[in-house]
Amino acid sequence: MTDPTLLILISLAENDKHGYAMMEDIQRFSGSRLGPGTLYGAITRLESEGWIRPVARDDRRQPYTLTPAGKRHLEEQMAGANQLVKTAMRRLRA
Amino acid sequence: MRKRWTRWIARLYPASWRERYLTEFEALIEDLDARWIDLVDALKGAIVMQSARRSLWQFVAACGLAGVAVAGVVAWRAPRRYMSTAVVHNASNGAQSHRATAFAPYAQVTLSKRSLVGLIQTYDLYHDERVRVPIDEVVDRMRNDIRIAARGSNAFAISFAGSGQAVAQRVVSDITQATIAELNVHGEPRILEVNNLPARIDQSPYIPIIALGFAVGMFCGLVLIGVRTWPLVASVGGVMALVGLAGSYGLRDRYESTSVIRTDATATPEVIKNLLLADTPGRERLSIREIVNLSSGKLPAVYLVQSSVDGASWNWLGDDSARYAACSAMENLVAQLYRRLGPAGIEVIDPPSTPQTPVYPRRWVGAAIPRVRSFRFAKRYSLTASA
Repeated sequence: MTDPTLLILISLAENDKHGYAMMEDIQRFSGSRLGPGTLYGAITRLESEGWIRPVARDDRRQPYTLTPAGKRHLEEQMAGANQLVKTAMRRLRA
Repeated sequence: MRKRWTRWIARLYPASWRERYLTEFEALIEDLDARWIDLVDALKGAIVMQSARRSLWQFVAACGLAGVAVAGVVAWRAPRRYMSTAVVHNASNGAQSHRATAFAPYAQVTLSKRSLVGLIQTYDLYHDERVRVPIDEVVDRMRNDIRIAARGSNAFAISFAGSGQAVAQRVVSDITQATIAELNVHGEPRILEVNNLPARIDQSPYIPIIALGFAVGMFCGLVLIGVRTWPLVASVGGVMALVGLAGSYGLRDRYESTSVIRTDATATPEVIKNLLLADTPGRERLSIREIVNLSSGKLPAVYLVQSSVDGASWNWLGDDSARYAACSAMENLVAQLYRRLGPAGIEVIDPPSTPQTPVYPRRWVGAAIPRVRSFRFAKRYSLTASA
């Protein structure tokens, strides 16, 4: 699973983060390092879809938070992924 | 350095995006230990964002303008070139008046590899190129910087475009003197216009370079749109190109060696070809690609002989045997001629060259460029001679 939009949603499911914190978190839990262009391309898409939104900031770093719609979208995606994993494991055990 | 470049690339994003995200994007770059791959990623992001927010032609035009900007920097950094020109008049000692273009073969003699290598070393010409490319290519480059053009009925101009005023003047002076020495045998040459220290720049490099930059930028824009719109087609095309490139290394290389010889006028190209192929060792691998008579009328013949040799050399093993086989075959050909015509009947102006790149298959565009250049050189003089 390397879709940058999903990785960002997973990262924000834990708590609010700014760009650099997201990059570090994503690298830690997935092993994928998102470049700045990829990260902000995905942030732009997610914000336009209404799945994340900016929150109040103290400095130039802009933190983002997951919206209820974003949370629902992530749950749907994870449910689908979970179904795929279950099917694959069942077939491997058979 | 990389952070500065990445920040500069951020300016390539659409204006509406920059208004909203630029501050935090720059903060991210500040925090980041930026690598070169981040710079590429930021550039890719800018291209994707621009192509998504603009119409096709807006995006292509923007790429063209980016090409103009890059070409402008290249043109600005290009060294200035100065052209020096001398005009030579020749009163032929024969009854027939020759066209000025018929004297080009004598310039060809002075433009032989031996002569030009001497000039290159004396004046330290093409210093940077000599570090990077073989001397044969440097000689071809110099031949392209030398122009010979008719001036009236019995005069011709010799020009050289170089990066220094004084050097350009000295080079033209030496070429002119050498050409006059050749012409002395067949006419009464005199210098009509002495080559002065050139004051004007050869030609402005800006317009052609910037036009090329615009065209290349637009082409890249179309390719990027194509890759984005039809990623499968682009991927298949890329894979096929790689397979084709890898497959080309399994083909036999064909190398070509060139020599310029001078014989008397009775030795026509057909006579030379028959002499050459009669009993030349290894002729089954050999094909004489071209014999061009560079002179005309009653003037002694100057021939450009090009021969090809098929070789089974393996590039990835660094096998150079076919290159040397082409040169060796050409040496055999010239030796045959020497044996048949005798020392008084033949003069080798340019000895057989050792080819650097195969004429077939042309694996890389870069490898093809020197071939195109040398082809132009040969054609230019053969056309001049047949005028």
